[in-house]
Amino acid sequence: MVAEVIEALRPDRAGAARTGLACLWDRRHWLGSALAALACPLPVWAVSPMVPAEARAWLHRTHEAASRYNYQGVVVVSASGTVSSSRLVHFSDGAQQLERVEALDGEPRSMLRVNENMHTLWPRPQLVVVEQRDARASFPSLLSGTEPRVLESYEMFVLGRERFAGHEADVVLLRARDPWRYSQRLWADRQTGLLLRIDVMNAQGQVLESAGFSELTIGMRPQPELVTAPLRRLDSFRVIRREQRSTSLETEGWSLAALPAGFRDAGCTRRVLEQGGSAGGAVTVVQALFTDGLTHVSLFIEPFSPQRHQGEAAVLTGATQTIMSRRESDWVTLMGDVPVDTLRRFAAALDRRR
Amino acid sequence: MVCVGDLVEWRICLLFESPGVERMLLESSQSSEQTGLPVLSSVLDGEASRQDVAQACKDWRAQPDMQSQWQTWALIGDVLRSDELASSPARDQQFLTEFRAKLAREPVVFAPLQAVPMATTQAAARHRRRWLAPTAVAAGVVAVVGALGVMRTVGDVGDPASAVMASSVPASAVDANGMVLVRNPQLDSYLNAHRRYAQVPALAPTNGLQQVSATSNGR
Repeated sequence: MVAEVIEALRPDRAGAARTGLACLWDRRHWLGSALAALACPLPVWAVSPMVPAEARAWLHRTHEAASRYNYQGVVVVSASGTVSSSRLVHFSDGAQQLERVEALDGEPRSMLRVNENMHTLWPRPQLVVVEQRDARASFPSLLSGTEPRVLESYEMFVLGRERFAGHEADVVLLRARDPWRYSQRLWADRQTGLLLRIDVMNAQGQVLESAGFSELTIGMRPQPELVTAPLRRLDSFRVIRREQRSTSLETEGWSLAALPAGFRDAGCTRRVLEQGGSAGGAVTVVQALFTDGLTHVSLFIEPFSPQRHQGEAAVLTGATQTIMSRRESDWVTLMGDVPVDTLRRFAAALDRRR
Repeated sequence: MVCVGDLVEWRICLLFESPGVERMLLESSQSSEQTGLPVLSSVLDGEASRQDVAQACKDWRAQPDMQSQWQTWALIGDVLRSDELASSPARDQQFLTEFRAKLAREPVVFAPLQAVPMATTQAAARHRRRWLAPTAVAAGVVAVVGALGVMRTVGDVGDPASAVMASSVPASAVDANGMVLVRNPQLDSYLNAHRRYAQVPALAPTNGLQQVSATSNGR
């Protein structure tokens, strides 16, 4: 079996495998890709490209499912050999979205969301941070569900069916069309379309980061008090409100020449950045967002401070790349689940206008 | 040359903020007016540039004074950190010999590059930072143990190559751009802000995962 799969993935073999998965991987790395394929028990001969209309419908259904259903489960994120988990409960009654996420590792904290209003509770320092949040992009919601242009940057393949987290799942691959982004493999519940797992993979087919439910119940009885009750018991908590104000790079005195292919402006805000988790310190930054429909890049600009800012840096954590550098009196941080060269392109395109 | 006894006394001075500290520091600096020593000091602090590290290693090979000074400083660092580390050089030498023999018998392990920074935990990285900054970080536990041994027995070891490894950064810890890995706790807040829009669960991990960063100037 092992030998057959490796043989099927060899680039010099013509056939169905080449038109699909094998093309994803560089020829030189066929052995690595074969090993990656073995980790995912999907038959390689099941690979076939999806027609755009079908692909869009699939993404849309998955995106809608995240807000439509009641579900609860444990989400596990693994990246760079580190694993962490959180318990997630989501209720929807049509008019309201209620969500509660509790971190199961690190400092105790939980996030309670009622529609766009998000409270992050830090029970130990008795601190609550209140802010507005776009819920569209957090797992298990899918940003690309509402993005018609996502298929310009990615090609979608059906990889097959698999049982995952106790549910029968459709597995698809969103293959990057160019080296400026990573490919993603998605598992979605067959019945509801709810996203069960996301793998972010590099051009060699290595999984850089994986987020998914380890167990999941869909369609349980709604218990909105799970979210609303803790919000009524915040008397002893110190409340910090994080306002953000819309702005633009131009207003802030910056310009961005040509963006990497497929990326476009997704808004810019002036916001306060919490420092050191619950410690409470804060600094104001300008955050500009760019998206290709599936993933996005954040650009942070703030005044340079020798105490806070160390030397130029490039960091990889899981699939998230970060580069930081000084621009005269400013400090620029670029961050995104994209290859570091993509971030460098952003950095090169950024210019101070005044 | 400072002996363990002096250092313990120095440490007591430090604890009680006695003026003896200044006296000892003064004596220490008077005895170290050798060329290359300021550079050696910045190497130890992880503040030297790559050229300086290379030069310091070259000087170190030629100057017995420098070797002895290096050992003294390493010992000072050890004593300041823990009494347990303030052991005799002979014991270190034995440890290093055994460690090298064991390492030679180990099979070669191939691992993905990004896994390397994870080998140093947050707490350990913080603990080592002051004295071992460019070395310890991201070199992984094994390399750190090796570097400690090398640093502390450098006066007795006739193999400068291992000292070069200890004071410059092991190849595996440097990325394609020759950047040195250090810890950056500020990254968490950017990640939190970024992930508001990312397809990662709202409270995705930040602890331990986002604590290591790379810089080109070794700070």
